[in-house]
Amino acid sequence: MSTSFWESLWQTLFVQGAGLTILLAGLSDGLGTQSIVLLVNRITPLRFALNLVLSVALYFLSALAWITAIWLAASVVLRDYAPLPQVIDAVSIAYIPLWFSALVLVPYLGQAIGMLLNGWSLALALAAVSLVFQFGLIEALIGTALGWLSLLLVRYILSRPGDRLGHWLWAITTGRDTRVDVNSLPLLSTDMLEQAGAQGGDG
Amino acid sequence: MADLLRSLARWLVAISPYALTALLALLVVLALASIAIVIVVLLWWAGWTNRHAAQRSAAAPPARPAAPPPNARRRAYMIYLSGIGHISGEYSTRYEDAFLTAIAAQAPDLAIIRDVFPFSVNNQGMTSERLLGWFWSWVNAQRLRKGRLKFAGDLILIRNILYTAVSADSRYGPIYNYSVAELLLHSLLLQGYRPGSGTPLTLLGYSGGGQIALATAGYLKATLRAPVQVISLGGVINTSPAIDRVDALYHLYGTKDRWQRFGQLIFPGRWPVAVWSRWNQGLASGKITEICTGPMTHQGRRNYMDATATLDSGQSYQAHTTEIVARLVRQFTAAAPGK
Repeated sequence: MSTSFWESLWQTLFVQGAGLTILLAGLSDGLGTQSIVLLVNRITPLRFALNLVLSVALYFLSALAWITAIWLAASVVLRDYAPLPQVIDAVSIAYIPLWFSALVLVPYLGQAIGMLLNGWSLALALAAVSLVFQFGLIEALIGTALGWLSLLLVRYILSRPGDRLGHWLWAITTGRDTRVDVNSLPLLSTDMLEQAGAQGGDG
Repeated sequence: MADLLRSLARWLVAISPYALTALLALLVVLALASIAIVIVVLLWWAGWTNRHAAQRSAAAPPARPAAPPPNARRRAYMIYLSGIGHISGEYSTRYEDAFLTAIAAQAPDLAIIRDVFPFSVNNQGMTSERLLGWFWSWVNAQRLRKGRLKFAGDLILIRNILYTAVSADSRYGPIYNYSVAELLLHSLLLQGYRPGSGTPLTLLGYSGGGQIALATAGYLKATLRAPVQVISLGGVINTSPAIDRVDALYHLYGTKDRWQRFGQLIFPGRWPVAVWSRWNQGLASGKITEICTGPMTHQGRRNYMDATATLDSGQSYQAHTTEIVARLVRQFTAAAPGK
């Protein structure tokens, strides 16, 4: 690829703010979802920060992969062309609603809020794709869905090494080999039983 | 009349931006407050806020008038979890005092424990909170004074509703419920309960306490290896994996209790169309029994524990509710193996 392509990509991501838009969404998503997993696993503050930075980086890369997949689907399958940096610039707008992903932490209603935000984001992505490629809604839907499906396919093909990589990244950032399953918590502490039983008498 | 309506319409149009802004601000504040509560619970669980010190402070709950002497051998135990109007394990209303005393009179072998505050992860009362203790003291004072600022007392309800929502959440609710179960277990042991003895345990939860009673029951059942039943008194209660573990769940409701109806509405697992939910499966199998107590309200006058309001039969609301609860406890105790 030409130097002008990389310059254009750099401009889009780091000068025009598309990268910041995605990074903020990634940070908010990390706080809303990843932080629950980390704190349930009783991770130390330092490792928490480390894992959060890593999850934001992975979020950023997966966002770029999704946008690139949409670009490829539109270019190859629907035979329309627009420069990749221009597509990134437009589709990054879809990440603005996801700045509020931390609201997923809201008790009980949080997951529904997350679905609403994702729906809003998808609607913006469709609008952006139809604008950049001069598509109608159906073509935009096909382009976005094809991008998403191809990403799923790649993830499926790479699922085993991906799982190993994910496990390795989890282990090195958190210092834990396994994750706590909140639905399989152990019996209540027997140490406390003995301590309190001694205080309370034999009944 | 037409002029009046036109003026009203103009006024509504004029005020609406402010009303919308106020509504939006209220929603933002509520969202932030609820997230703050989740963060408090998660940080406490993670040990970032001195979890073990908090456990130790919870190890010695104060003695309550309704509690038996610690070493007394009881045939059954009951833990009472208060409603969303409470501010601590020591706080109680005159309704509750009379109600629990009446239950104790009808079930003399029953040890009643009521010193755990279910809307805290470490049994710390709201007025003892490090950062906001002063604020909750002020709110409670306004509520008790019943002056112009008595509506501030609703903040206590809102806070405790948010804790109930935390308990009902499938992502971090289990760790909250597990932590409260630890407190309940501790209190049981201090009152002389012997794990493995098979002594039956009843968890009686009023309002939001009903949700926490059910959600903690599974952990207690597994640890105590004893029969455990849950009685929800107007409980705002979600379907829960604990339904599979407990021996029985009784949901007592008044026909004029709007809060318990709100629970039916907000939790989809309790909608009649959700035939495969644990709640509906429990109803079908007979593990869950819904008992209508009459035209009782959730709080205030004519509530489940009101001794002044009477049914058509002449029996007071309090006597009627007491009779049902005491009967359920006696039946459960009699049916418990080896008891």
